[in-house]
Amino acid sequence: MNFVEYISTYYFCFTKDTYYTDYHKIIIFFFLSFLICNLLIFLSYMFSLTLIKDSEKLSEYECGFDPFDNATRQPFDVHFYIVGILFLIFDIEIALLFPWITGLQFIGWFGFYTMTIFLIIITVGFYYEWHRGALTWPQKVEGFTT
Amino acid sequence: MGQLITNYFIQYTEYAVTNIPEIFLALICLINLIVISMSYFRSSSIWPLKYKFFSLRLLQFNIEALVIVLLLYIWHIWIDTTWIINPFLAVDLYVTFFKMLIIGTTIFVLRNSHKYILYHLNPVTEYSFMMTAACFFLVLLVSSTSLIFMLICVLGFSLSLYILVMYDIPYKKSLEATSKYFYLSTLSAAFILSGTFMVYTCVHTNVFCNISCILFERANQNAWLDLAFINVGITTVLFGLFFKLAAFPCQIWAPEIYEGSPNAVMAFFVLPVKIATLAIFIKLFTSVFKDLYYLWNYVVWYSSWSSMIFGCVGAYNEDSIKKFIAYSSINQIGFLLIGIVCGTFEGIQATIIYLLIYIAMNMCFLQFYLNTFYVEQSKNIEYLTELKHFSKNNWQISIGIVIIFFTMAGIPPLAGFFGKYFLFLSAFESENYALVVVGMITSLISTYYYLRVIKILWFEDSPFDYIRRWKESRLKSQLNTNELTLFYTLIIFLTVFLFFAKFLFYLTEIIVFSC
Repeated sequence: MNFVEYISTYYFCFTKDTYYTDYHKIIIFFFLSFLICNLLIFLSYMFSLTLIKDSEKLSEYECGFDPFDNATRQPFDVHFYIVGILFLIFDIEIALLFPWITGLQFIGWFGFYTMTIFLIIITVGFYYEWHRGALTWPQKVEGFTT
Repeated sequence: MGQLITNYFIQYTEYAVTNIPEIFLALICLINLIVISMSYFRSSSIWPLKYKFFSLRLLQFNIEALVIVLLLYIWHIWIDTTWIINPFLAVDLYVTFFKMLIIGTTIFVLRNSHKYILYHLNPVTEYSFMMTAACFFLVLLVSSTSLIFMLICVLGFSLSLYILVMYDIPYKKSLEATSKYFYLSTLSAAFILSGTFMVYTCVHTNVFCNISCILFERANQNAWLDLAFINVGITTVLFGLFFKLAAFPCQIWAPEIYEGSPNAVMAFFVLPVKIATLAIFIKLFTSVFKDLYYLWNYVVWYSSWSSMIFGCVGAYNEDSIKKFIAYSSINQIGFLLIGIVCGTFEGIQATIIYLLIYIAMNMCFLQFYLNTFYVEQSKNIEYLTELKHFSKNNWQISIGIVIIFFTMAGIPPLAGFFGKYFLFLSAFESENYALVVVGMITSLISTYYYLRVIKILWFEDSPFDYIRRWKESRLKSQLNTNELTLFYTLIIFLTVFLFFAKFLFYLTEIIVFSC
């Protein structure tokens, strides 16, 4: 029986399976983790002595001088986020390539062409992002907003 | 390997033949991407104009491609491929009918976005590609055969819509609309995913055919322990779909997002998205979860009358046109859900008939709204009060608008009355009297704001009218003859609906039979 027949039979018949009855373990795990996280956060708060809200004590430490204006906060370049998202997409593509490689002898030519179509679609997306400039750090051009 | 080729090659081509329009649409999307990326104009002194001409040409290309897809669907019905059963994408008359509606409305939206691209300050090259991609996912959504595939298609078109809503960003309300829509829409997709997970733990399959087989066996035996999770699963999937439809529990996003998005994108929200979600809604809840009718029936009943009341009450004194359309569409979705609550064959028939009337009414009004500009300016209408004295220069279109709003209100010889009549009839037959009462009361109350528009168009008087030049409106409808024919054919459809009703009954019977 080849791959396509196998898939068609899967889609047309249903299976009987045993039921998962150990759900109580999950709920205990959930409550334990909830308890531990709450303890970590609130124990230190409850046992601390910083209930005195003195403006001098709460301000930033700057070697005795008056603190500069928002020295710890810098504008965040959104391009880092874009690079991260693009990495994620191609990482998932690689993750989908690995089982395909190991199972190629079972799925034959049909499986090969299916993955080829998938790779073509992703390559078109790559071509698009390259030429639209998502891989270069943006230069500030006056009067141009996209 | 040689034997394997001959064994499944025929099946592979069969499945490809049944889905030629979808493959063509996918190729069009890829070609769009390649063309956009190849034409990145750098360091050119006339880049805004070049981008604009390029985006307009892309728009034409997309419109023509979608027309070809529509013709492919007609060819597809003609060649009668019912002997090929495709397990991956459903192919039958129900699905093809809805797909043709989706593609037709997308063509309508793209044609009307010509002016938007022309007048927009920033280049909008990806606009037509995004709409075609959203249309592609909607088309796949309608023909999905499993819950996971449905989720993928919902996420796909939502992604295209996040970007489309964003095109007017310098306008303040657009930023608000984008962020709200993004957060809420991903939440609704999470609802659908958790619902599919719960259904899967119960019946161990995602495929629609298998779920209906299992439920047919087990639901009649009162095996409640086996089906413990499925109740919760079905209601969460239902809430996810209600979000996309803008029906009661999840309808608050609609007015703000419709207002913040560009006009043509609002038209896209109102027309193809609702058609596709209704198609999958009907399919899911009347043929897949049919045996668990008593579980989801109450939720949809509640949503139906609440949407009607919310849409009716929310549009009072609403001046902004886009919010007005949003509230009226929420109201009409409430009516459409009446037919599904009934659970009978006639109920779904009535829903599909009212859906066609809904499409006709909204297409007509949007055709007028998207093409009316101030004389020799690119400013569009935002508020209903700007329509004052519109009838002095454009009396033909004003008569058309009168007919549109009379059908929305449900006045007898026009189509809206008959649509509501069939819905109420099927509700009476299945003893859902509360829906009929609420429907009638809300139709009555909503006539106020529908007729208020007509009053503003024809009869409005203001203290400044003694100055003669203010008597003429500076609005002019820029509809050329092609678009005007659409406007008037739909108006004629709405007026002589009486005579079409019989034909529509037969059509919808065939459609619902193949569901």
